[in-house]
Amino acid sequence: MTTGELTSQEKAAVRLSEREGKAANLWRDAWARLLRNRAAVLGGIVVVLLVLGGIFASQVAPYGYAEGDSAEAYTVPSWLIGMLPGNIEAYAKVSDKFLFGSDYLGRDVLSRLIYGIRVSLPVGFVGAMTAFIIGMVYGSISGYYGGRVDVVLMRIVDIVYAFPTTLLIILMMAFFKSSFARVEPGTLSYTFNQVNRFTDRLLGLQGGGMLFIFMGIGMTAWMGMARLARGQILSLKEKEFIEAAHMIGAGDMRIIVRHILPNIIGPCIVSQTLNIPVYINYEVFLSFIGLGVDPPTPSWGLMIADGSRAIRSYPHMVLFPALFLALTMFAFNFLGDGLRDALDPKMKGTS
Amino acid sequence: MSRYIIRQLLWMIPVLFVISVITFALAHAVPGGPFDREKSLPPEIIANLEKHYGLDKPTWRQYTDYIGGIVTRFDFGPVFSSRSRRVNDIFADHLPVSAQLGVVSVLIAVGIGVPLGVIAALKQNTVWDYLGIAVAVFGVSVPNVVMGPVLIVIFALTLGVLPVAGWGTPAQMVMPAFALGTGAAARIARLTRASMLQVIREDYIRTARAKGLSERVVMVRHALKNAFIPVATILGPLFAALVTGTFVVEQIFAIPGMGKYFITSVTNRDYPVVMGTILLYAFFLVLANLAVDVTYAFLDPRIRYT
Repeated sequence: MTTGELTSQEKAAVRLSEREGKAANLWRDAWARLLRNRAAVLGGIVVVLLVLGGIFASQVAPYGYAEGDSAEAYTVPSWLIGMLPGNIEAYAKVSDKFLFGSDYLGRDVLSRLIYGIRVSLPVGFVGAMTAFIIGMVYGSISGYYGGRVDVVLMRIVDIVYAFPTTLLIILMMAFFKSSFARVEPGTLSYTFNQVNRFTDRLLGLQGGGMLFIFMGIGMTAWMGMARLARGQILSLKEKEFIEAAHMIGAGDMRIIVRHILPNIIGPCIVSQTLNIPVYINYEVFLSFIGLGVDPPTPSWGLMIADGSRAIRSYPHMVLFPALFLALTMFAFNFLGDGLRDALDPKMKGTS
Repeated sequence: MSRYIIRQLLWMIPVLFVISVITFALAHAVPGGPFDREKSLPPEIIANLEKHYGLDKPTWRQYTDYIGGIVTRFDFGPVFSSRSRRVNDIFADHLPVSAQLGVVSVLIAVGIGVPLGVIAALKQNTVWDYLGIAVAVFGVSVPNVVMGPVLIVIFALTLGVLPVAGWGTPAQMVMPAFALGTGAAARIARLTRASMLQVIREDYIRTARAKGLSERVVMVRHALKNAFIPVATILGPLFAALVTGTFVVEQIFAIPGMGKYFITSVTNRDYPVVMGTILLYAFFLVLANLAVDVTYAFLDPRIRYT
């Protein structure tokens, strides 16, 4: 179909006719709307590039993330030196061996940034998944059964909500780090350590303690999701079609899974997509304060913390991780906004 | 109204009590003690230290002693990591710094966020709207851990117009306040725009126009006042979080604020400091939320408290 001079009404008609015979499909329509949103497509491309960069880090990155020679510490590439402020030429070592320069141990900044994707993106995705699953189950039970169950479950959420999230995560990370430090076989902490090591290996890292970060973020992130799911179910369960389902004798499980979940899943997915940058930011924060990944595993937060300590003398050390992080955040925010507009056009422009 | 305020202030006591119990339990549930060092101290010294600070007593006794100290002497306890200072000294020295920075950044957030959201909503689907949305996405996407260093490199190192870091002069406050304020400004702008768009379609706005009020009066007196309600809601937690200090920005700009005690106290198992900082945060949160409730009644005459 060549669509050169068609008006928008005709285009819509064409789209409708192409769908002829097929039932209206939420996902196909949403996909079409998403593709028409340029910012979202751009964000999606960046996310795909990041995912590929993370998967193929060992092929893409010019050096390993832990290898470095302290004789080559703090080198500045020659293309950058003119752009940096101050009289950095006077004291910095210029070397073109590293495209983005090297850090305080002589490790390649670019390689560490690329390997850092293996920390940041999994945190974002796993955080969103955990929050989604726990929050959906918790919120569905609370909203569907209502009454005393609802009161108790929501009071628990209210109480935990009253605590600053950062404090909860810090306490939890401190708890994990000190109670799972023992390694005698047969104990619970030994099992946790094995799972942790397996997780790290799965992500292509030699250590790093990713499981504990996943647990810390997952255990604090589900509450907002639970509230959202509960609110959605509350407004749905009095509708006629749910009543009809009760009438024909459908069980609770069947009503929740077949009739309610398909109707609330859109906003829930959108809210978690928009939260991915929040989870990435949690990991950056944790690594910044030294409770995140264990060195030498590269994390953008760790790199920003190291770099901001040397910001007067070597400003490029902090700039590259900062720009990488900002780019990732932009990509996910654009994609999330686009997904929201695509899945629920009524929500467009609100947040 | 005043009865409502008094009742809410009294409610604060059980709320703070519950929060203190949970925080105490959580802090003590983390293994390790305040006197664990890389080179472990002799057991006799640790025993002496624990006796001195009352850590050898049962946990429930430690809790009642702690609460007793606050209620009878307004004493928030010792600081394990420093012999000469107490938690009250930390509050006295560092809270004013964080509070000053926090208030300025909240003002920046509101001062940028609200006008931006209003303009974007009033000129919906024009360049102004897109500009407002772009700024909002920028503010949400650039966390303060990125904003801080980038501001330093641009304004201190390249242009040389502001000091790199430190605390004491107004010039030193500009960059940290902006680093803290922009993210919040973006959230406020988004919220203001969304609620403004909703409000200007209401019947009472049409009524106000129909009875011949000028557009300015309609927008400021009728629309903005109501559109501000959801914004006021997020200002409560925002205010509490910013006023009690934020670790990242204070660290980057070398500001002697409260922020670092939220983190070092947990990693050092400095129980009285953990309790003190959290109770302080909760106190500000409850107070700020009460202020928000009062603001609702002022903004929307339909809301009444009895």
